[in-house]
Amino acid sequence: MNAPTWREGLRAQLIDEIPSGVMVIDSSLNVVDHNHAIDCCFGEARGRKCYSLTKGRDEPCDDCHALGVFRDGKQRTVEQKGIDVLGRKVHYLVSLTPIPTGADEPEFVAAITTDLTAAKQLQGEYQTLFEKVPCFVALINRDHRVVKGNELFRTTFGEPMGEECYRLFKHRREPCPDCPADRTFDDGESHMSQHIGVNREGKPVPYLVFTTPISRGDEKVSHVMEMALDMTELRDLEERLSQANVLRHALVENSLDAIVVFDDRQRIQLVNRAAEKLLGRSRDQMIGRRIPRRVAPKELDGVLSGKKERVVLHETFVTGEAGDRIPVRLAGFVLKPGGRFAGSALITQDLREIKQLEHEKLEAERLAAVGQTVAGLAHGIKNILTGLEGGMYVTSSGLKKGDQGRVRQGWEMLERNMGRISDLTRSLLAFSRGEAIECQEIRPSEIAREVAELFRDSAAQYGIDVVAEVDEVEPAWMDPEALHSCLANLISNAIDACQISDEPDLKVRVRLREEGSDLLFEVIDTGCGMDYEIKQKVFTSFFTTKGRGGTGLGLLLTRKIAQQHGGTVNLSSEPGRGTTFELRFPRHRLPKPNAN
Amino acid sequence: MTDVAEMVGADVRRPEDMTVLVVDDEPDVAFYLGSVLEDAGLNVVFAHDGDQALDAIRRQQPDLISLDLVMPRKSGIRVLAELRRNPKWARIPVVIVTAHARDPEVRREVGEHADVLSGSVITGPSMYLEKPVTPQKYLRGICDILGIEVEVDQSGLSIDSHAELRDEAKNLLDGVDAATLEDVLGRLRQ
Repeated sequence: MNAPTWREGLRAQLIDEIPSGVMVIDSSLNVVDHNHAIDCCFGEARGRKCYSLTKGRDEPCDDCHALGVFRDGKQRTVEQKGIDVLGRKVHYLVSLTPIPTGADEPEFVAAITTDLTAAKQLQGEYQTLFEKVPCFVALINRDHRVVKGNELFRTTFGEPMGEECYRLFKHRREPCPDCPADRTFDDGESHMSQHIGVNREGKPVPYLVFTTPISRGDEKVSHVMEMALDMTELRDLEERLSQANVLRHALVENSLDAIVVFDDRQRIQLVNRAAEKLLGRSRDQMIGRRIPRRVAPKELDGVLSGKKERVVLHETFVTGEAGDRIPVRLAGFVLKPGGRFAGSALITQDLREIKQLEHEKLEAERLAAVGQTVAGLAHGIKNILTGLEGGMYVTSSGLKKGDQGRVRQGWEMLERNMGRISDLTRSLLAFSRGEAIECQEIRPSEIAREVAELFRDSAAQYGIDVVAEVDEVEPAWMDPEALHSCLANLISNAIDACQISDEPDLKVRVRLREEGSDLLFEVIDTGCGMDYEIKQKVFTSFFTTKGRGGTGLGLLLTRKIAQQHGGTVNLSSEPGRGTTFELRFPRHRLPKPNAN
Repeated sequence: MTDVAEMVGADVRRPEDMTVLVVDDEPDVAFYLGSVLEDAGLNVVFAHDGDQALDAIRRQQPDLISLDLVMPRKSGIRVLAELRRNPKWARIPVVIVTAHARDPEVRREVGEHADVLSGSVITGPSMYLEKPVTPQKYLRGICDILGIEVEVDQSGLSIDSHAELRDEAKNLLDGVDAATLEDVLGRLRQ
């Protein structure tokens, strides 16, 4: 020990300040010296036993390594777990070295500790990551043997007991020709490829694999890490998406309605076959452009620009390529995936064929009506003929007997039946009047009140009260004269029904209101009502229960006028309780000012 | 027949012993038919709808009913059905007088009550007359059923001379087709 004193000082300082713990233990395991790092980790060390200091024990450890060094004098390094000054677990590497003192057997052992806690924790985290990551991870050596596999790998492909990767992944007996690990072994680069493996149950597992070279210091790649993503669910989703797409495309493409889809700048994105036909242009000519004004009425502008949610035009016209007017039904609506305006769609139904069918149906109905009229007219005339026959008989028998009263009676019968011929002729003329109705903007409320007023006085003579319960409704495009005669007809029927009723409180109510988008007239009486048989027949031509008073054409005429306005006539009635006739005009079916 | 009538003796029926119920909703027609019968010496009771007819039958059972088919309140068909259900009334002879024989609605109804009509029109002591009916045909039909003989007063029934013309008109009306009607309507319009 003839070294200069500064050297001693330096050594003492070095020992005190290196980040490792250094302590000196005697053969009784007393800590006889230690550096600052020991204090920091385990607390005040002087005079304590090493097992008490580092592990909080009351007696030496069963496998005490220090005692081993005292026995054989050989240096050793071991991993230990202890408890620090704050009571936390510490993981450390300890190197035990005999201190040479010249004696035969070591008197002191130096213990140099390195804290491994952080490293161990990191290792544990990596291990957890390796095990729990939601993809297959396998470590493969140059012999294609799987050295290690993570949890998902093991549960999917089985426990790797040193088998070859091709056996585990694909149940093959030899390496795959497109082995991704081989490429990485060859060029030391990462690669990605898709494969279909076979799981433990023998089911195919599509996966996407990434390879990573692993080398330990030396240049040659010793292992390859394969990380594979299970694509089963993704594949399923892709397949379902593609099926949904095919279905959507087929539905849109084959729809009989023309479908056009726009983006948020009103440019055409999609056109189906029916739209090509309706617009008279191919989709190539339209995609990316704006829709021509002639097929997109102004009412749709709000939807196209995203300012309106939805527009439905039940009956309107667009102009064809050749300038022809095409009757259509239109629905436009905005597309808002996730609440953001992304564009709009337009569905157009070509009504030409329907209109044609409607026309043919009307024509057929008209022919049927003519057929009924033929039968009815013959019978109507027969009734009048019977009346005339009777008049002539009564007159001539009165003349023969010189009975003036009888002659007068006979003559009156003749007059009445002549009158019926005029009535019949007039009704026939009205009924067979040309198809056209002459529409203008009218105030339905005014007409309803006017007609009710017309009957009020004459009905009052028979003790029948005619009441108008008329709401103020919006004007409508209708034939005022035709509407007038419809209502007059129903009211006159109602008054007749009251006249043959035995009820004391006789009333005819004329009502008008809007119901939804329908214009609804009702004529309600407290008259005799109708039984089932009469209800069945009221719309039959020349059917009448009024004896000489009716021609049997009134309701038929009323129905015809209603139909011409796109409306319907319905009745509900019970014998003894009265009858309600309803004239219903859906506003969207009323004649259009610009049509015809 | 005369021999049989003589053998029965006092059973020969006289018009003034007979009562006929005339049911028609048209007062003119009822009055006309009733006048023809009254002029021939029969007694006549009137009803103008089905309910009245049944009331009248309940009050005094007639020897024959002249019945219209289409009437308010209760149609002739339903009156007939009620008559046939009641054993007391089932054998009353009925003469149906109607202009609606060819109306599809009436036909349908007649079809539904075929059992009723088959009992009265075809096999029963009843008959079916289509309007317009001449006084002669009406009176003769009713007297045949009642088994009485009346003097047909030629002067009171002078219009019978037009019978042929009338039958022709009736046949024409029965055979009229759509084209003819349209033609007629066209002329009326002018």
